[in-house]
Amino acid sequence: MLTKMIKWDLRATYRKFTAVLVAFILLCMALPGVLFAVNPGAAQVYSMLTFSLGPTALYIVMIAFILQYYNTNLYGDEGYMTFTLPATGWRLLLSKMILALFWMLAAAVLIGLSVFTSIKIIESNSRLSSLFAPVWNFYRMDAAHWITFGALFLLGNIDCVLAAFFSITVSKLSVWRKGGIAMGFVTFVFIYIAQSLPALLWNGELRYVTETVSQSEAVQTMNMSVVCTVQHNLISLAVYAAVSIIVFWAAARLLDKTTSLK
Amino acid sequence: MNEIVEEAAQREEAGGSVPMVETVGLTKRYGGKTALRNVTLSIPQGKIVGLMGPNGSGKTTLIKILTGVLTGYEGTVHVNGRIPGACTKSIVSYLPDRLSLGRWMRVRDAVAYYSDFFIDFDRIKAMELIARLRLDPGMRFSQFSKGDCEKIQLVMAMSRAARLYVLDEPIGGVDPAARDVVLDTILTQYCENSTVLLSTHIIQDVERIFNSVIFLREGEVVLYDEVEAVREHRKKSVYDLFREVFKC
Repeated sequence: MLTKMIKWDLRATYRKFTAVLVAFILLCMALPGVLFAVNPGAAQVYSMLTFSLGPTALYIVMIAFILQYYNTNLYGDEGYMTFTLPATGWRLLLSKMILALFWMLAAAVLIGLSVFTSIKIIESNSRLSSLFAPVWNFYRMDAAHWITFGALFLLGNIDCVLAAFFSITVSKLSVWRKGGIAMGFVTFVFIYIAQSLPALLWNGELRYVTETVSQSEAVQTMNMSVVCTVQHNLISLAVYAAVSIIVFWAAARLLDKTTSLK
Repeated sequence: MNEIVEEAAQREEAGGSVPMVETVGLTKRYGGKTALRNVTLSIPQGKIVGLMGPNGSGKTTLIKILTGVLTGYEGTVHVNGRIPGACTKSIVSYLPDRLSLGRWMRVRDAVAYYSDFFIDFDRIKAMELIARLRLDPGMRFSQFSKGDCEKIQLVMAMSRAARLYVLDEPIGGVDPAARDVVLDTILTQYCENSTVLLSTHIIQDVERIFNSVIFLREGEVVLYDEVEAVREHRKKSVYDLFREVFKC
């Protein structure tokens, strides 16, 4: 049942999502050429901006489409089909979750390529290289940090999508009457604040840096691994995992028990 | 998902007959408005029942509750002895009053979709019906008229060997000439011993197919009787009785 649901979710979404990804690829391929033709002097800088700001736009568009699909497939007219399938709430939710992850990973691959291109552009220009040196230093970390950051990125995405799915489902509860959207927004913000608290409270390393190192030295020595230690990342991972499990359970239960199509 | 079908068959073999639909004291409120008020009824297996009432009388709300797309009600509801949920959805074939399949789908996609999710769906029967209705299986829903979309959805719903068919306004959007085709499709395609609950307010065209009728007014059942009894005891057709009961 779950594989069939994923298959049909993919069939329903592949046109729109593929179009967005292809549009992003075309933009990244075409824009540097156009910029070079218009202004060769500033082409490098503008290309670098395209390869670094473009991914942000892509990420936002992908998330917006994922949430829109969840909303229309469950709570639009299509919901009259989806909710009459012989499937439990957790299957419906897991199917949407896997779909979201699939498209976000596809976007992540392109974003990775885009950032890599951006780095290469910077490296090819000595002025840009020296300008961005503090940024490179900031991200120079050992393998343990990168692994925990990778896991944090993946789990953070799962957690973010689940929190958004749960918030949409909460916003559809009939008890809110006209305040559903506001309640959904409040739910999302609440989840984010609640899950950020443990990591915010555990900031000893950061305090140590700001208290013991002078400001100029801090800028020179500032590194991601000091701001977010491996332990810090592991705490965040544990919190994200716990929140994801709780939110998944709650959303699946709401889908089962409180469906209310208009 | 087969267990509920098997369980029902076993019950029948044992001689015990559970009502296909049973509600006791069913009340549904939307905010301050009561859509269904203390509805108590029992629909046996193997009947074609008309659910009638003016707009806003609670027909669609009752149907949504029976099909599991609406929860948060008071009272008890059982479909084949079970509370509406994932299990009952495998034996209930629902035709909603709107296009519930993705507009991106072609007709053949819809057939494949139903084949994937409903084990009681008869793919060959569906394709035959589509051909009989002269609908192009390669066309997308977005290219069909509202009436044709309704016909396709009806074909999908009736191509299942379901135990309960719940049809919400199946002839609401089709032209008078096509109504007979739609009604014949319902009459000839539903499985024997299955129950059909059909909501409509176009009564004249459909009363010939009903065994019983339920009249709803402002969320309350004001009449639930056999069609024959209505004709014999009240000396009226269902249509005439409807006009009398719901006279403005």
